Amino acid sequence: MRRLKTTPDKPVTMDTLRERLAASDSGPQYWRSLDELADTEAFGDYLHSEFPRWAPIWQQAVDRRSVLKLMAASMALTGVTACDRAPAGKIVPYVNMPESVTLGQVSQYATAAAVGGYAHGILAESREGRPIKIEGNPDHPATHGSCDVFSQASVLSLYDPDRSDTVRRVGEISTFPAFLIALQAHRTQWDDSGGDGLCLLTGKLTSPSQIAAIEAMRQRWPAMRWFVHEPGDSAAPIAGARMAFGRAVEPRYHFDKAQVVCSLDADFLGLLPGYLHYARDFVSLRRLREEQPNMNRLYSIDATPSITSAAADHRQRVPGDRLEGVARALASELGIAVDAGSEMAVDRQWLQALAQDLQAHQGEALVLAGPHLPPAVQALVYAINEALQAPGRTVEYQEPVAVGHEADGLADLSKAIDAGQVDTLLMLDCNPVYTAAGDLDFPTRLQTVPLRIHWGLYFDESAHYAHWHVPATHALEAWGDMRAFEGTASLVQPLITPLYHGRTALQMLHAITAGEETDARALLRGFWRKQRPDTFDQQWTRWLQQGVVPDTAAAVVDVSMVEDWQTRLPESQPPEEGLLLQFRVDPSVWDGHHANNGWLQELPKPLTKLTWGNAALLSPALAQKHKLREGDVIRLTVAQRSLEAPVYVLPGQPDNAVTLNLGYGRSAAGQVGNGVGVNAYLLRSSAAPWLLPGLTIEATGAHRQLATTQNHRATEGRDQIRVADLATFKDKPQFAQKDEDTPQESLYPEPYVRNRLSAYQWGMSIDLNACIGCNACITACQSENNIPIVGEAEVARGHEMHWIRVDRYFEGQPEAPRLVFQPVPCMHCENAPCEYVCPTGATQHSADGLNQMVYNRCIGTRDCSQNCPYKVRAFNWFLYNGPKARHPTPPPVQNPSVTVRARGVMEKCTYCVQRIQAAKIEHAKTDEPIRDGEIVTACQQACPTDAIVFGDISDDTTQVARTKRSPRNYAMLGNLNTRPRTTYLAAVRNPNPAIEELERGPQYREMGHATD
Amino acid sequence: MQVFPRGSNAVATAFLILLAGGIIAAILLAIILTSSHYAYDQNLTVEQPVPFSHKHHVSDDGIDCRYCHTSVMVSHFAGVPATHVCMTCHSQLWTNAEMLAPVRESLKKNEPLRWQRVTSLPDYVYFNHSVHVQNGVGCESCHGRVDRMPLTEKRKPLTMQFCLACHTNPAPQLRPPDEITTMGYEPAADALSGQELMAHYDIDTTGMTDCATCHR
Repeated sequence: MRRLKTTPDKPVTMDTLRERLAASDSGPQYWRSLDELADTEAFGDYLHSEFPRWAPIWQQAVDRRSVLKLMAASMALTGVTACDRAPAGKIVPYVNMPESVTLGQVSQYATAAAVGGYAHGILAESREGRPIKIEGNPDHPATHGSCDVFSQASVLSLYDPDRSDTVRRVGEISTFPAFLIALQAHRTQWDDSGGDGLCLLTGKLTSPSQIAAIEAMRQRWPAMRWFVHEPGDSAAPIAGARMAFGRAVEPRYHFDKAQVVCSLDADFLGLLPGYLHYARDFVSLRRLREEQPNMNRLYSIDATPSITSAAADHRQRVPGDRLEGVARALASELGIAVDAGSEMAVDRQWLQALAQDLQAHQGEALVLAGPHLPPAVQALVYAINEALQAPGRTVEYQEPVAVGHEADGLADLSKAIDAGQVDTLLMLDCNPVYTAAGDLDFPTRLQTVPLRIHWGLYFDESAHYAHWHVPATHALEAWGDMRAFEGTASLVQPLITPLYHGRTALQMLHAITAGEETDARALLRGFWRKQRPDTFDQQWTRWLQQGVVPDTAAAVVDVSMVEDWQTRLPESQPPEEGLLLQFRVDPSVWDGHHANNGWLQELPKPLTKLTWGNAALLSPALAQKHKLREGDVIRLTVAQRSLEAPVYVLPGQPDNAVTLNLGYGRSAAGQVGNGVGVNAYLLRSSAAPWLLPGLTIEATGAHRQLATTQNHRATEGRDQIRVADLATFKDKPQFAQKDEDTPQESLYPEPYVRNRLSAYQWGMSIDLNACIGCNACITACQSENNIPIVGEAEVARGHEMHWIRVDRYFEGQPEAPRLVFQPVPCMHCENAPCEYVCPTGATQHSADGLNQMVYNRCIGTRDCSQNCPYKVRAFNWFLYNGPKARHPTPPPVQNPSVTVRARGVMEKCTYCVQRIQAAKIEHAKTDEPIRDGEIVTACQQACPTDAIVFGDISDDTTQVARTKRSPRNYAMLGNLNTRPRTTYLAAVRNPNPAIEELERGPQYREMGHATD
Repeated sequence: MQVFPRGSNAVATAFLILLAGGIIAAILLAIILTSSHYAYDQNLTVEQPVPFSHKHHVSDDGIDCRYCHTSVMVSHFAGVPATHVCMTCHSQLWTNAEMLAPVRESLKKNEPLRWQRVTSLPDYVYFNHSVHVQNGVGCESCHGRVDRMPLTEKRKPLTMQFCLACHTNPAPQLRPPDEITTMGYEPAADALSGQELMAHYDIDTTGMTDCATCHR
């Protein structure tokens, strides 16, 4: 990668961008943002100001005299800070110590967290009775020890001071017994009427015990109606299965057997239920071994870039309404007799090449469709898989795991309300006032229901409309169960007594049915005792230990296409002209459920690197057409409803489709989430929840600075990314090691002096081929290392504190770029530039190769950050913790093994030194050597694809040493002779030669090939 | 024209001498203060809810440290006994002693005792008891002759200098495993030498003075 030559500023147009790309030297070019590619003045200024982040802090100019005064005063007063004594503190022992507790030691409990209603198996870590960290549960068959951002961040929500803390009756504080008494009159009435007028509204339910409780409720009151509303979910795969197979089944994929995968807008690495499992399986076929350099191939045809399209070897951008046409065309290419349609959104030759590749891998090919695509596309994809002999190999069909696909939705509930059929509405753990599609005008309708009861974690938008609100327990306080995407029942056990007197789902359901309060544990045990009467007593503790009930996976069903499935397909209709509005679940806050979680709000979204909010995603060409730049506020109007949202120009977005993420613009989320972003639900339509044609956009003239981190810590386009295609790799496996990496001159003593070496030498390897950019490492690090939340304004200034960032690079043309992700923690350089410039010796090298940061020595000169070529250091510009902070992290969630840093201190990745020390201490007691794999850093633990490997590099047999011997191994900025301990494995792509040939236009310049 | 009066020179000289003397005195005072017991709260007793005597329990009764400080061998925290541990004996002995009223109260009300901390390290220091006592460092090395303290007090400065002295050269502080809790330990004539104990405990001082050993 070379820096594109700077030219005088011209208005940035697509033509200028293309010119720049064409004019640059040979070799692939990687860029982080259109500003960088265009080399605008603003970007240049941003990059070249030494500390771009501190300029705007001083709102008003300070004169020289005041600066001198302040400096003199701080000089004179430095010593004074040492005068106070640390508060002595008290020791408070137990009255009667519980038997299993050893103070100071960590215990982990297997439990489960819900992501979109499905269980992710987790291990919750408890210190002195406080849950402080969530990790993946290796015993869980659906997640295999990896973890996602939502489960990990849920521990922060546990201590959220905005959680609902009391039962409320029309907003006034009340009690649970008072609620039960008030309910009694209604229960008698339902007993008489059989539950007529009683309606239940829940999210997507997978919990066997809750479903049983609802069934019991139905038995008592047969006329009760149950509605299901899951805003991020779609019943299309099951509806499609009805069309294709004549019965309700859902697909379960086996990416570990799929050599060729084609995804039709299915984000199976980031959103699809089971994505952690799928990511692991998918990457397992991308791990290159020298002796067997083979890998799978992924085609992605999608309507908006996602981490799945970033992982694709070939990608086509197609507006969402044209994907059905693509599915039809692909089906007919594969010899399936369907109406191929006239409209073609994808180049026919490209599609033929894809079809040939799929056909050449019969039984090893897999095509999948995003669940939000219409049932017809699902049915077509089922047929395509059948034609590819995929069933039983790369795809299986199972009984639907969640119930509720049969149930009516919110639109039906609205109709029932209009018809006066709803006397009582129980809203259990859902927030329809916020998540209802705008066309339903649900809040107004809801007000006509005579009795409204809400049970949830927060006193949210819907709770404000309820007569009664009952606080729910957090998953870490609750007894419960739920099923994973493949059906395995996972148990939820509490680590702490409910902080706010919440009730579990089972307690709430039982209270409504039986009119009494019951022990949460007894309810769950009662259910499972009934399920497994023979083994329950012997096995219950073991199930809790492992977090799963064995042999509960959903049954695989043998299905075949019904004869007349083609006739069941709706007529293929040409898509409407004009702009399309597409909705997506947000990768940081999901459907809005996590909006009050600061860790998630501050998590840069994988593609846009946006934090704290959503934006309308426009393609560069569309933005240019409307003369819009990033941050310009536009008015989106569709079906007579309009919404103002800022623009984000996303390379790779289809030109005629605007994407808006759900989950923002909340009004009753809490202090963190209120008023962040815009509420896309207002534009949503209940009939077509995922895409709406007929969108118009107009500029409002307003502009908002978006808190995106994409240009933060950029390093002037230095050569940091190495990618090649499989052919190059086979031809020259060492492609990533370039001659210019060998340092020509060095500031450091040569040859490298090795002194004071201890028995272990820590190092890390990050496989760019395995990294899918999912962000799990960032949240893991934030949770483990007490990284503060700085807030939107601070992120916009570049003050985000994350110790590991995932850089996202574009490569190629701005319309359809390829993407590469690169996680960047501290490199722990052996010749660390930061160490040489610290005036107080606050950053030092350890005998085991760590670049250590000593907070209590740091005086905040920031020289180290200035001298760090990787820009991995973060500075505490303000007090981000404590009562005066804007978004303080609740003290109980802080990891007691890591210092909570104060203002004015530099910090950075430590390789989780607290975990290293814990292992060293244990082994110093037994005198056994530390085994390979025993120390797992937080980022490594969470990673779903094992892209991060950590260990002792001085021992040739360790996994990290083996990985570093790979020919793909390279050091970032190796020519600086910093000798980084963190190195990368170059990414390899596996393009289809036929398509490469096709795309090899005049500008083709060996893109994706390494240059020598 | 003479601006300054005749005595100005003398005043100026005297001032300069006093200033120099003052600076030297201030530096000396700082040195004396920072190395004094006062600076580190050494040898001070603090008021406790119960005037607990280590002297009585250790020296007169011969109770081992680990009877009460149960997690010292396994955890970073040595552990302070729960009320129930006190009551193992005091439900039988001194059952009506005025002095022990807070302990009985704690048991009755199920409210913990609140002891004042005597030995305290800054928050950015991560000290681990177990690794020290399992590698030959006796309790006495840091806590002093607890068996002679009617009221508990801090005997060692517990400064970074104090810690580093041993981390650089642990040999003089090491004892055989069965002597860890002994108070007033004197190595027998045929006892293992410090260097032999280093080998016995497999102690490698490389990296023991790394910052991250104590600061994380």
